[in-house]
Amino acid sequence: MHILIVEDEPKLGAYLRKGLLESGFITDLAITGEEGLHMALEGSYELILLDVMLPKADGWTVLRKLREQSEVPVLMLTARDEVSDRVKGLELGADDYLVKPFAFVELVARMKTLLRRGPVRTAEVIRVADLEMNVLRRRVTRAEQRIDLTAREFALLQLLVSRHGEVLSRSLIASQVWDMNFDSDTNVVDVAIRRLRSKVDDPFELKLIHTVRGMGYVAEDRG
Amino acid sequence: MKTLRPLSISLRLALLFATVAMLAFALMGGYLYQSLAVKMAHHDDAELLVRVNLLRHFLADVHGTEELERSSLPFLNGIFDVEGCILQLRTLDGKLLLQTAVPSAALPAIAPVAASRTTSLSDIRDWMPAAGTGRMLSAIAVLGDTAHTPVRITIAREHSERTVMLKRYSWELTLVVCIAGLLVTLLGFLIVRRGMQPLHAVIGKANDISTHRLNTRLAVDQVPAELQELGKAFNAMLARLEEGVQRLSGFAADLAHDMRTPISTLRVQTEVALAHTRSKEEYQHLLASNLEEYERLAQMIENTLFLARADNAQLAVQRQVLDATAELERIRDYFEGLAEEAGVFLTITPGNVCIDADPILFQRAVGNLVSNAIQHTPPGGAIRLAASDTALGPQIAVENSGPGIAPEHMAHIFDRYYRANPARSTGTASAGLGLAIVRAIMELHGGDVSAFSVPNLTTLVRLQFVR
Repeated sequence: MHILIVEDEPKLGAYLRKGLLESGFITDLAITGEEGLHMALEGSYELILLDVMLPKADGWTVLRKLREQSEVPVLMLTARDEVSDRVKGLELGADDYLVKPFAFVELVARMKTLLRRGPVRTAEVIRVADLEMNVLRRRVTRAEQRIDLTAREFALLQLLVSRHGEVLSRSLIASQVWDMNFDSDTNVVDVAIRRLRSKVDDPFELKLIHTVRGMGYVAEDRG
Repeated sequence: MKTLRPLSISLRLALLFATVAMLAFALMGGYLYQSLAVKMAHHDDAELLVRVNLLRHFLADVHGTEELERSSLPFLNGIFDVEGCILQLRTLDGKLLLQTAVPSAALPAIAPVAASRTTSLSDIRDWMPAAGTGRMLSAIAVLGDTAHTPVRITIAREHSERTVMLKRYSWELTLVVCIAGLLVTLLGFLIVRRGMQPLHAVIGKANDISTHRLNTRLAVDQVPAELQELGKAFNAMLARLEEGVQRLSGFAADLAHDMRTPISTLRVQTEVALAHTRSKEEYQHLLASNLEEYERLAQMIENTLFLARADNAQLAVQRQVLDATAELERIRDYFEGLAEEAGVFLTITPGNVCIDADPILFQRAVGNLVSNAIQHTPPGGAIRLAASDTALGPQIAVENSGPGIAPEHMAHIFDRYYRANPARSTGTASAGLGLAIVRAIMELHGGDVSAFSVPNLTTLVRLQFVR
């Protein structure tokens, strides 16, 4: 995956590159609007991360000129999140909009959504290590042992294993599982994960649900 | 294109005043001119009648054509030799006996008044001399001989004298009207300017106001009646500005103050960690701890911005009709696990209530209340969510058992950054903002929030929506 980052803040740019490289992306970095536009038009990128406040030509200008020639997905990064700014970005043809300060896992999640072309096919049976989840029959087993889950626990586990290996933030989990779309400081998600673990992980040697401190949760086989 | 600056009110009023005055003067002048012209015409006509009658009498005493030609004609020629007046005497077969002056244009032939009839004003006709207008009268007179020889009299007037006089009169009138108009404009301008003096006083006052002196107000009772409304509106605007500026600086101070805690934590733990070489695990721990503080800071900024925008009504409220009970069920579903862990029962008193509200803001408001309630309810206690219809509109109630809120805190719990117990809730990011956000959301919906508490028994928070 070839990604162009247009970001003038050197520290943020460097760490974005590092983080994205470790998440499996190949990235180039442009530090001015002009340079970014040039690279975006010359190179072949699958996604562009575009900061709004840039020297020489701001993100809006870059986006407008880019859209005259290219349909490449653009994710805007900005410290301004007035409604009018969002509307402006989307009208000019941005595909998504992320407000600084953002969580890195949130950025990766949004990038993956943009890169995932076409409808997402939900697998009928998902397997992670010895965990098997039959989505249609709503059955979960580990090492052939049936595990009984409530509807919410099932939805939570399904979210984690269908995106296994990907760190999911608490707000993403709250939004996907409970459709609660506000950032709350309660530990509702932590409690729900704890309960899920008591059924899915505690009776077994191999743990599948891991806490990534300060970021969220991930389901993966670390055995 | 450069747009013209609008005219000053003084000039505008003076011009309007002048226009009205000019119009009135012109009407008056026109009337005077007309009435004079009519009077003069009438006077001339009457004179024509008198002359014809006199001539008829005079001719009645002339005995025959011979005498007429011999002695009367030179006499008549003498007395009718008047500027602008023409007298013709003819026999009935058209022979010219006398013509006192040559008319500037040929006199039309009009039917003469018969000798038996007295002439009247209606017998007088218009004719067209070379310049201006003319009036004429023709009548038959009979001589005093035995044959009663008829003679045709025609008297015509060229009105050039009168025309010249009227023309001069109209010029004078125009001149007077113009001078009076100019005078009125000038005086009007001066008067209006003087009348505008109080406005300049208001401007002077407005110039005195800066952000440091927003408490200055106009003395409304000292300005004229017309300006009182303006003064009141101006004062109200100042009050709003003052409130806004105070709120803003309060915001900045609160935010800065609240940011100090996480930043000092970050600073101290990073300094301590860097002072000596640490194990990999210690560094990882430090970074994770830092991340949590960053998260707190980001939340704090997000919440403060939310409140600031709600204050300025910059938030778009996307209303939908919501089934209140179904929404409460969803919220209970979300918090159920947390409540169970805290040993608290979460119940719903359903009501068949529809609420017109933004779904995300509604979730946020009720969610904040429930999360607050779970924190403050001792194990074994209960939280009740209820939806009901009241006379004012739909209402959501969140009630929890517990120690309650002390009366001295009651008035402030919806204020930003207010904490009943400063030491207690430092762990959570929205500490001190949760209830302020609830109130902001209710204000965005045109409703309000109120709280009641019985110490050591129960606390009830009501969200009142409007219909």
